[in-house]
Amino acid sequence: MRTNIPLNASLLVLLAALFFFSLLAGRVWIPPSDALNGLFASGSDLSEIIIFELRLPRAVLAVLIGASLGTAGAVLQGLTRNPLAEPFLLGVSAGASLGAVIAIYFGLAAVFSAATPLLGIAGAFVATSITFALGWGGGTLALILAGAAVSGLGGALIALSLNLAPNANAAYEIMNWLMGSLADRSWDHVFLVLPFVVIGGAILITTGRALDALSLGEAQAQSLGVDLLHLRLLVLFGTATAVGAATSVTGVIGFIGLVAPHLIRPWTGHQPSRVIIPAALAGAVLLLGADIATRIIRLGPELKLGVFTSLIGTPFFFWHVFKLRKTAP
Amino acid sequence: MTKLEVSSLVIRRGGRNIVNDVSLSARTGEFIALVGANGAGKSTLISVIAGLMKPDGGTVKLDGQALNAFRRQDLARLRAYVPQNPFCEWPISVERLVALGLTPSLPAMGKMPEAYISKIAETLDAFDLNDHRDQPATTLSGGELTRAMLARALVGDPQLLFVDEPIAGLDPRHALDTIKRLRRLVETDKLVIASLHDLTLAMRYATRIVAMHEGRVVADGTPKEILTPALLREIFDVDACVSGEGAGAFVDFVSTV
Repeated sequence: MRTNIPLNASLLVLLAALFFFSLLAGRVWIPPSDALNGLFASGSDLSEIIIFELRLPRAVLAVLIGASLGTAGAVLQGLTRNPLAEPFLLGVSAGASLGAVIAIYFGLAAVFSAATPLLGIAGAFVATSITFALGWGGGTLALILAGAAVSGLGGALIALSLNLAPNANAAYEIMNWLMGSLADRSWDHVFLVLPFVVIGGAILITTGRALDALSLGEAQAQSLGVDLLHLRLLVLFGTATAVGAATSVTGVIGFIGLVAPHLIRPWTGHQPSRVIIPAALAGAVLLLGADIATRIIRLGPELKLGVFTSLIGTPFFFWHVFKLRKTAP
Repeated sequence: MTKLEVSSLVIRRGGRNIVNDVSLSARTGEFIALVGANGAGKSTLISVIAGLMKPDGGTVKLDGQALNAFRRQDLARLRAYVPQNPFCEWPISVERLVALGLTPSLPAMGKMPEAYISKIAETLDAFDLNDHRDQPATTLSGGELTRAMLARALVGDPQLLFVDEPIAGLDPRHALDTIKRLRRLVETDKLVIASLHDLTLAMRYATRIVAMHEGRVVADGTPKEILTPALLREIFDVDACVSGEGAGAFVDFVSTV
């Protein structure tokens, strides 16, 4: 039996390198020696402030959120046995966004800071439940279509909130938030999402064995002692908690959950349980990398992270369609 | 010894009784071939006695204990089930596929215990799968996949094995190999219940035949008692010719009535 250790170790090294690099990169480039000082000594020096107050929380958030999306993608793909399943496509992100938009729109976020993640989780939960309820039993196609329908509904309700926004400023704020970004996020945001990401991630990781058994189809998995209803509920709660909280802080970030499990699957022997942890690490690497790219690529205003991941993620989706065209009869 | 007791089982789907008042008693050391026309209720009956589907009436008991009183894991260790045309969704290795049979015995997380690793190796060997150990299961031929799935079902050493149409779609050599493997399990004191359409193989290798027609058990006994032209005409609605005995037995259909 092969182990995942070399793969996980390589991903961790890559993640650590990117993490350190993300502290240096940006409008103000910081020399590595100053970055180390900023990490280990807190002072009033400008570079230390930039590092500790701006870039460190941003990098930590990128890791947390990338890992959530990667984990959720791996688990959803294992559950549906469909390599196209991911939080974004199944409507989880749309539900979380709608919940968060409601919190912003009604000013709940200003009164109670946890309102945004909590409503984000609630939105994600409702959206995922509807997708699962509509799409279950109808196979892969039904699930993807249900996800598209739920995403569409979420998008329409968000558009409605923009339409009815009390003033142009509120609409602009919601718009801006929807594009997905890690800019100007602080330690408060980190501590807000951390517990949800940890709880959601822990729930998702426990599903590994059941997802392995599910490789043999539902009947055989059931005969091996897997409680399918229990498994679906775990995935539903885990995904809604981790992705709902993540989305409510950063806005919609698509395709990380789709691409991360794909990239590492060939190195894990395609076994669903062994995809989960590396997919989390790969998700963190991808999102951190994408966030660094948005800071390095200068096109006037800073590129939004969600826009960037969609721009680089969509071709991947196209590639999948082309692959299907080749194998289709 | 484990005893399976099925009494007055009823399963309804769409207002119709798919399985209608079936009672049956079986024990380890038997190889029961379940025969009957398409739609006779064989697959449904197998799903229910395997505990995968709840009956609308009647009970299924193992050693006097109702199936739904078992913990999922305990039941999974006691019996194995292989559906018709089993498949593998991901290109995992054959070794991993066989290892999945140990799922009910494994802790929720962590490494596979040493004893299980040698058990998997033994099973791969017993099912002639050593050459395919690292091959993706999705690339196996029909005969190889059937062997791998049986290995998966038996790696955990269950007392009972329920298989739905294990030789459907197999060429004669693989069909014979599969049915002989099932028969050999009787000698290791297991109960095998398999639905079969090949009556010649059923007659040669099963220790007992249960014939179903429109959801009911219409005959239950030794192959010689059951596989007679008169009964085959009743069940399959065709004329049959039965000749020979034991390993030289033949059942063939002659013409439509």
